[in-house]
Amino acid sequence: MRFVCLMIAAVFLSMGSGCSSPKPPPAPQETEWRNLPSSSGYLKEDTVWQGRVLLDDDLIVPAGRTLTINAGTVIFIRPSKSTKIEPEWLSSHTELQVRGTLRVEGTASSPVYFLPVEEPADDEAAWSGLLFHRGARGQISHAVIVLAESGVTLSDASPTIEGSLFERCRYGAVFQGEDSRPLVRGNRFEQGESGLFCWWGSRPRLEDNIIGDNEEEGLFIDATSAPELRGNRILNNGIGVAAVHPDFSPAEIALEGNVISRKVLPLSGGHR
Amino acid sequence: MKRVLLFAALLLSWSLSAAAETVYRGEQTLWQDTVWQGEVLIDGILTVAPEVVLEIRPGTRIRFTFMDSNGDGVGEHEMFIQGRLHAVGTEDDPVVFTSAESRPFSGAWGALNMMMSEEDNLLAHCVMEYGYRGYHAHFSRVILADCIFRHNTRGLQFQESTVTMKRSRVVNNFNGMQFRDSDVVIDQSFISGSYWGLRSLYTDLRLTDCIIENNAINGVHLRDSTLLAEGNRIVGNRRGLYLQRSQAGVRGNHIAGNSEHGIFLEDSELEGTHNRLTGNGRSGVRWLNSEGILRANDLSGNGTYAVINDGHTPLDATGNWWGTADESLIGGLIRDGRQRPGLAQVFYDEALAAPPARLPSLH
Repeated sequence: MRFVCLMIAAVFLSMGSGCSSPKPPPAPQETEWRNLPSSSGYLKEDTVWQGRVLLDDDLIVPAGRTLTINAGTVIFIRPSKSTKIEPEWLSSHTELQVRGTLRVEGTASSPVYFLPVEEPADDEAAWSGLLFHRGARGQISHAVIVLAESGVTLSDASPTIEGSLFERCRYGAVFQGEDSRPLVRGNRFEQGESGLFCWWGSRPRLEDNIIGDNEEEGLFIDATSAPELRGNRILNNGIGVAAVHPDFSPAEIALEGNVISRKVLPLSGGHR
Repeated sequence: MKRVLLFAALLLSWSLSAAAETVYRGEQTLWQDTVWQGEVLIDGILTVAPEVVLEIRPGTRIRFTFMDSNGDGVGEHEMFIQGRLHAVGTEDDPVVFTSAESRPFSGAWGALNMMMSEEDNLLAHCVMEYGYRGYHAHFSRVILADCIFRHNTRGLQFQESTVTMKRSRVVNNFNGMQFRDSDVVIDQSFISGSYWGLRSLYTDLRLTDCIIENNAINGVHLRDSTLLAEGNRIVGNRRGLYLQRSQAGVRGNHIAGNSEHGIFLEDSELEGTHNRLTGNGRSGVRWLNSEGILRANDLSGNGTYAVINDGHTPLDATGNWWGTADESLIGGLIRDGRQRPGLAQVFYDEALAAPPARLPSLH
């Protein structure tokens, strides 16, 4: 419980600066997360979450169904301790997998929080993050996502991602596949292993994001991907941009304080 | 004599059930040896009892109706083999296990389950499609030859089993194949188009001359397993070969064009020789608290780094080709304790002046 409160406080304190990140409400006090309404398995019907919710185990939003998360909702996540046997899961961590529609409807003054209830050991991720399967839809507005394997992974899916904070996730976001063409605007991807990955022909529109303080690559672009870039700031990462052609105009990317500013990748292709 | 021949012909046609569709509804059990040929409809759950042999002849099509009692979208009609299965099609007339839906989808039926079937089972030239787990086994022994597993939620899943898969294709499943506590040989097979291609837990796996490509999370993932991998092409996956707490001999493979790491080791042991480890996105090899050697490999042309040592055990990577023999340039291809104090180093002296001999071909 102490970890949860510390986590929330740390996230709130860290959100005072930056582009259009949401202003947090007062920190929730002690929460008996074990007694909260919990959700796992297949979402059986269109559902709205508000208040405090426990993601007790893996959850799939099936095709044709919608999960809406209202502004101000806090989702506590119980980390998984075992590998899944069932075929439909993608991560050994607790996961929220979207095949239908996920609408995270936070606001600048009332964001939606995804918070693990336990600190993982040895820099492990505490949960998988939000996984959007091919054709899934939705939006992530003013969310705070921490300690995920990948804050958000889009496999041929294009939900809008805006005004959100991805902090201490191993990867901030992964865009994978030619139908990954989301608008990604006004977010912060911070303090992870790496920031954003554009793979397998993805074409996200990246606007006015801050990618900062990641140990390794801030932005990685493979030979097949071509993000549209405008007004992004890549600050204090191990490597600012790793790409086949890493030279971008200042209007596309501002690079400051990275140990290595740009790295040219000698990659001719890769995924076909 | 004529009467005898006529009787024999009638008996044969009756036993083959060839003329019309054979239908099994509800929960049924085959208590005696049975031969299927033609069309079979499973509208329920069908069990083949212990010591009973089910023979399925070329061209037979087994269809399963969709029934979802708990609203999870997964079909529950399926088969359980407790006896022995001999399903042998031909290239032109395979045995097909499929959905009865007019618009089938992955998970439209359960699985071909094999439970405690330790006699020699054989599936040859079979197609399994649109199942939840196409082929699923516990405590069983089977040879899968020239089979296709496609459009399933998972193509194959088994545990405590002995499985040999040859010349088969595991393609376009949500997840490819997963097994644990088993002895597995996979040879000349193709695993592609899934999130997880091949996932192994607590298993001895021999993987030879396979192509594993375009899997969106991992091509090959082993945890607490042993692996001998020779002559494979592991290309274009997000991660190529991912080993956790495993021991591996990796020789003569082409591990290339994977988005993250060609080989990623955590707490594992590796003998990696004569591999073509090129064009991988973040690194050719990521080494985390592991033991072993990399020797006589081609480590040229990888993305962010050729080799990353993120752990506290050194990596002996002497005698490899890095795309250059200039040690100062090679140093720039490596991230280890030299840049990150506290981490162990990669030793890369005796660098080769050209790609080593006996590398796998590019095709």
